[in-house]
Amino acid sequence: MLSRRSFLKRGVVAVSAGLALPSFLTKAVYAGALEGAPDPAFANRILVVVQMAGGNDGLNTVVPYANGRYHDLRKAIGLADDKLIHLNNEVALHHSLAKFKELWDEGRLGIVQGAGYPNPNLSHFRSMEIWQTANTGAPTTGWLGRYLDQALQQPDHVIDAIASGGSPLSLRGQHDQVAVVDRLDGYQLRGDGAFPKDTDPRVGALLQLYRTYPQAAPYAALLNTVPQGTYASAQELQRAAKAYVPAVDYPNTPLGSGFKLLSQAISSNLGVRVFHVGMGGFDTHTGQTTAQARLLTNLAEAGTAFYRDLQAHGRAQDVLLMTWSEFGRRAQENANNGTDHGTAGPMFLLGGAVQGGLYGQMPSLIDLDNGNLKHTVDFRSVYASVLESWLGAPADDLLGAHYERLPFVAGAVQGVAAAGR
Amino acid sequence: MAVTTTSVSNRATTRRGFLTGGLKGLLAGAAPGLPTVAAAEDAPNPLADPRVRMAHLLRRAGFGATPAELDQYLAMGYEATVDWLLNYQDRPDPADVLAEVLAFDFTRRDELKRWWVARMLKTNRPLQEKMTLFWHGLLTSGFSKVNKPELMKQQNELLRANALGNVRTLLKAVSKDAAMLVWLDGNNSRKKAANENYARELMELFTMGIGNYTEADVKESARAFTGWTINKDTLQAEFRKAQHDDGVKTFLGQTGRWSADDIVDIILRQRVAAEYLSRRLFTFFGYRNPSHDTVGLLADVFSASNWDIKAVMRALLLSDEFSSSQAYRALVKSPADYVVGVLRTLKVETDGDGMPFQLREMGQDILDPPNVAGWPGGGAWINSATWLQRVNFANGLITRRKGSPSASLAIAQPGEDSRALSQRLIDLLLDGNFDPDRRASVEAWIYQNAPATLTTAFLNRQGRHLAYLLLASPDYQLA
Repeated sequence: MLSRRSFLKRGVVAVSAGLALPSFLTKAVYAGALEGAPDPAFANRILVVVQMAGGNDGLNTVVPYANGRYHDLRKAIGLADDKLIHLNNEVALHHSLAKFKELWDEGRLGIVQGAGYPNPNLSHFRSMEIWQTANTGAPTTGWLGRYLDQALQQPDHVIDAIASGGSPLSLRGQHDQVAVVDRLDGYQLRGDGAFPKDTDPRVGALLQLYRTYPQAAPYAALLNTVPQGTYASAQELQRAAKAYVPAVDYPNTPLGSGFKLLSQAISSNLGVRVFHVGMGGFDTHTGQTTAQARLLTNLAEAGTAFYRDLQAHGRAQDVLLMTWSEFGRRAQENANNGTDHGTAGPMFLLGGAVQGGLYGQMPSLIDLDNGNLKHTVDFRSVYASVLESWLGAPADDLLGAHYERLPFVAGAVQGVAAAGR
Repeated sequence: MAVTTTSVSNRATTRRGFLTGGLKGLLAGAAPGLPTVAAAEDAPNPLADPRVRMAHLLRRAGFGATPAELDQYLAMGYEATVDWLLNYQDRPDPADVLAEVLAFDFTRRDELKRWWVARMLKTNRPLQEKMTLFWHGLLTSGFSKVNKPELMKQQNELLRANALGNVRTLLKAVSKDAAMLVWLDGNNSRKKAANENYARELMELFTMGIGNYTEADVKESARAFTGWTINKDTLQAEFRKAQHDDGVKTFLGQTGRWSADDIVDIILRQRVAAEYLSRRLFTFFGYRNPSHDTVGLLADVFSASNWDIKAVMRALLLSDEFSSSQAYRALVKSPADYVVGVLRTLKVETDGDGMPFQLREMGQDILDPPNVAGWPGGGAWINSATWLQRVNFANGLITRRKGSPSASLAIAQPGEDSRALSQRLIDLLLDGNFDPDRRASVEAWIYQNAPATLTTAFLNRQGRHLAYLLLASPDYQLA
């Protein structure tokens, strides 16, 4: 049996070893010395990805109102003129997107029509995987995880990505640090009030237990990394919280709170490059009219509040927001004032550097595939354009193929970003 | 897979022997820069120790056990304990009187959630509640669409009543369950316009998995489920013949005037359904990615027993795989495992108040799953937000802030010295299975600045810090 003395003696070694800074904290020290620092033109750019989970009905979001066929397909839930905001003489926005119309008028809202992929899958989960991995084969990493892996090999910050509303597959990479934050007030490691002096060493002892968890054991990779990154990101976010004052009122919804959190992290210069926000409820098999109106109102109000807040903090030029949904819905409405699983749908792009306007073609309402829209833009074209023109990343490498670029980033010279790297 | 109770491992390993043997592998694995030792094949099996194996069984087939409970189960023996867990039907459950005692208001969502957590805390049929949780994650529905708590309670009771019953009975009942009719739109499906939602998820998520049916199978079977709607007065499902499409349907290659029950019967004739449900069960109770053989043998039990869940669960819990070293600490505890497990193990007196909130913040908002696929589980249970919630929950419990339920087992017991206190907590929370090096580093910190003579105050501080660190440890996050 060990004496207390030998306990101490053995333990001191282990504890001091544990007190060495974990690798993510030493990144800052080494970053300056490493070569291949990111191109400064892209250094401040941030991507915000908003997932509209459940399959948003694209035809009732960006509406081909001038096409008589639309009104034939949507006899019950089709939107009449008093429920539409015209963008031109062919398409209109759902009336709940009134806030987005402001951004459209300012030239800061881009809309990609008919985004999808070949051989569409009508399962929520499979189709989500395809969008999240940008891969129709066997998925392992997410498209944003791969971006973070290559872009942030020498990062000078603690948090690579922040996700609100769960941690999506799209952010999964080899070695990124994703902070999942839903409520900032709970996002800190609490101490024992009776022993305030023990707080820091107790944290040290806890993180040591995680660092030394045997690497061959199940879930070791997860357990070795999550707590270390979480502790560091919690310290940073709590510091940031003290400095930030929102310039606008956000809608009192989880999405509104999520965007507020992002704005806080962005205006506090935490160096986070990618944010992911999830909202659900788009699986409108029944009673779509009310449900979708509520969801789109929430999206447009929270998204626009976020943009205005960024403007007030001088960061609107640095942020590109992109929405996606795993599929659009069946062209023909069903008998329950709803729509069933479908295929292609629109994506929104929003930001101070967005070249506003429509991209891609509205899918045909006559030439259907089993009642479903045929996509006109591969969603990976949108990803490729975001990666290359916005983030300055080697899009073809990250996506494993070349996809056509869309010119929605104002001032981007197509192809140069990739060639320069 | 041999379904027997014998030979967990032919290695005669004591707990002490395991610790010594395990140390070498752990030290090698923990040293930075050194290659990891792939020692899984050669490492002694911790589950060779009967007490560790019993604790493992109770964590998986229940919500953990106190030392006194473990003593009782050990006196019964492993196989008898499995049978005790399985054969609960004649055993009155103290959880059944909770509704009366605690006077829950079942028209409120939060009260219904608290009722279920309280059941998990108080039940003497731990496997029944665990199976109910399993079915809730598979044949799921939730408040995000089912607005009436009465319907969710009805469904919860249906899952509990059939927890270890027959898959055929359960699936036929779930197909006509009022909450499910709302959740997957059967209630709005009509003869002339069948809603595809339930038919698709029945095959994709509940019974077979993607790739084993066509879009045409979805459309055809959707027709068979028409007619089942909810009676607005009774809130029970009822069959309206006029809304049922009784025409000829071709489903999974078979043609006939199929009804809802026929569709379930045709699905259950597919070998892939037996394999799918076997895989889901083993993944929930055993470990992820079970071998094809393991799945196949459980599927054989499903076939041979005409879909008897109890027979399959008995085979699973008595299988060599379930008690293999591969199974030990191989699952991430769900939030319900974690919270209910801590409260039961530490014998915390609580009526469950505040616990549904804890579960939600840890990522398992019971009765309100994220979507129709339930909770993904596994590594998805642990992210930065949910990990903080877990360790802060442990902190709240151990530091006993005002209003927190007390955890008296975390402090020094009368007559306990420092060493005994540490050992008791490690036995209680980690099966006595905490590798000496990591243990030494924790204790070294706690013993820093210890007085020459250890006072009660010091021992209580030690117990409190150690209990927190163990509950918050990576080892304790695993079941």
